[in-house]
Amino acid sequence: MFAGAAREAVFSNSEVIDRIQKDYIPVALKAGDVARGGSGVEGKLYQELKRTMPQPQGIGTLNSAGRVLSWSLMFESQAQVIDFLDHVGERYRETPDRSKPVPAERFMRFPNQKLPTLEDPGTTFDIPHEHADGEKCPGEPRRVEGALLTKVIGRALDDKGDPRSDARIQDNYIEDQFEITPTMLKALAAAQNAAKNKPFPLPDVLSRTIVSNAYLGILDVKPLEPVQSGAEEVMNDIHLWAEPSSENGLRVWGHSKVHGKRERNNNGKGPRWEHEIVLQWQGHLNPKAGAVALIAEGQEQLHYDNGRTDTEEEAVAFLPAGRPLDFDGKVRYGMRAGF
Amino acid sequence: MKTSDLLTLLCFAATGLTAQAQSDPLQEHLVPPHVIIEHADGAQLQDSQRQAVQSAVQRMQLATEKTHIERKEAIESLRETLQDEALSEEQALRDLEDVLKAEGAVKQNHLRMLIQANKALNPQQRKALLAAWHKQRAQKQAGQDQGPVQPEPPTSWLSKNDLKAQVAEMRVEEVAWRKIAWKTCLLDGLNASRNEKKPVILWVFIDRPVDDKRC
Repeated sequence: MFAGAAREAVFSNSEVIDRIQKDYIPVALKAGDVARGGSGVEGKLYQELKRTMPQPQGIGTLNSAGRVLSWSLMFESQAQVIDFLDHVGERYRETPDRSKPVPAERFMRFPNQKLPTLEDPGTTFDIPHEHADGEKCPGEPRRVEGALLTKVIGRALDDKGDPRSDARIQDNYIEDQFEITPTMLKALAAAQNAAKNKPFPLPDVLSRTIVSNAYLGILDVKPLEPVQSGAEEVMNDIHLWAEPSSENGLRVWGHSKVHGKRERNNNGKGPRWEHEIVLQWQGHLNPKAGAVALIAEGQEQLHYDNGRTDTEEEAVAFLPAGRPLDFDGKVRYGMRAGF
Repeated sequence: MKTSDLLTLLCFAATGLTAQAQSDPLQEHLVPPHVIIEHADGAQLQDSQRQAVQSAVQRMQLATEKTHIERKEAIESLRETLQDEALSEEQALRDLEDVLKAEGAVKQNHLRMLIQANKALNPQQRKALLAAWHKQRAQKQAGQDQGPVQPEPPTSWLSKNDLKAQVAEMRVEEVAWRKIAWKTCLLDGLNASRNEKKPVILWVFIDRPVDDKRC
């Protein structure tokens, strides 16, 4: 939930956006990459981030020498996000480079919940202008070779069947992507050959991958990813079929129903959620041309209770817990690759 | 074997404790908690028993929260090693060891939860619920043996171009969070910081807003 909440509550605020555009250099890193550290100068910088981070995820600030100025996981209020940016601006003006030691400030929640400041260990980073020839930047997206990168768009619809307008929140609008791997394509080709021009069910590994990416909300409420989301997967009923199309490739159709839920932890804390998506599908697949176009429409119910429904605090004050979600309505998904 | 195959296998391995072949001793002797709750009224479970089963599940979820993160990181690390041109066997085996260690912890937590949930039942309830569980599985298997049923086709088919256009129409270009031009290379960011005399602000989360991914 943390990333979704941060994007929505912190980085969608127009005042914060303006300040970042004007006064900051924004850099987005994956928490897993930072946790692994890695080699080279960038690896050492990641290790320094890891050393100073209060938690494996968060919002941080650096000076031009790569020294940590401040971390914060949460903010007392929206106004305190701006105060944090002001505060970091002052720290940067005092220590913009490696000329003076920079103790790393750390906040669980800015400004009142401060953690012990970590002293500057004195190591310096010789930051090159660019990566050396042949050196791979750890920030580059990793892709499976030969996979079809498929983009997903999901929209919650209103009572009239029109898309809900607030695309800032992921219970109304999602963008995502997934890979249809060479293994899936190979399984599809084998199934098509065996069917000899007759309709055939898509291989499970492919249909499950397609269906599992059609859901609204945050990463944590993915019904068909029990290992990642901690869901107790209670049901999935997927029937996607294909047959040769007159437009080259395959036309695809079918229906799916998935349901997952998660209860609270044994202290009665933590999130509990329940999620059900029922969809009718149709689309076009042309593995040889690397083209995918799928549309799914149906009904979705999503209830996410972060255990803090009675709080009056702003969303920025409890980013790791996220905010409650409650959606029951019509939805539409689109998936596209290779066009 | 491609990375994705291995990851798929590992994912299935982690969740497959109650979904393996019939000879699986866990399936033969332990009732999954969702089956206990589904049949709670029929098996005349007391409120305290329901609560004990739910607590066992919640304890397992709490215990596995940390393991899930470790497992994700280990898989990510293995993926990176396998995609690296150097293809280091030693590093891959070390990464795999981390993945398997996390998998083992998940399975142990799962088994502990199954035992605790089953211990909440009296012998008669457990026997009755096991019978119901085995019957449910047999019926599911029989359904699968009949072969897949072709779904009804749509009432009207969209052409390839219509599909493509409809998906494109769904995208919203002007989204608030897209307005920040996040860099993905830290070196690039620090060089810009030096040149423009501005501090760097870091987003460090599981996924990034710049990859058009859900987060």
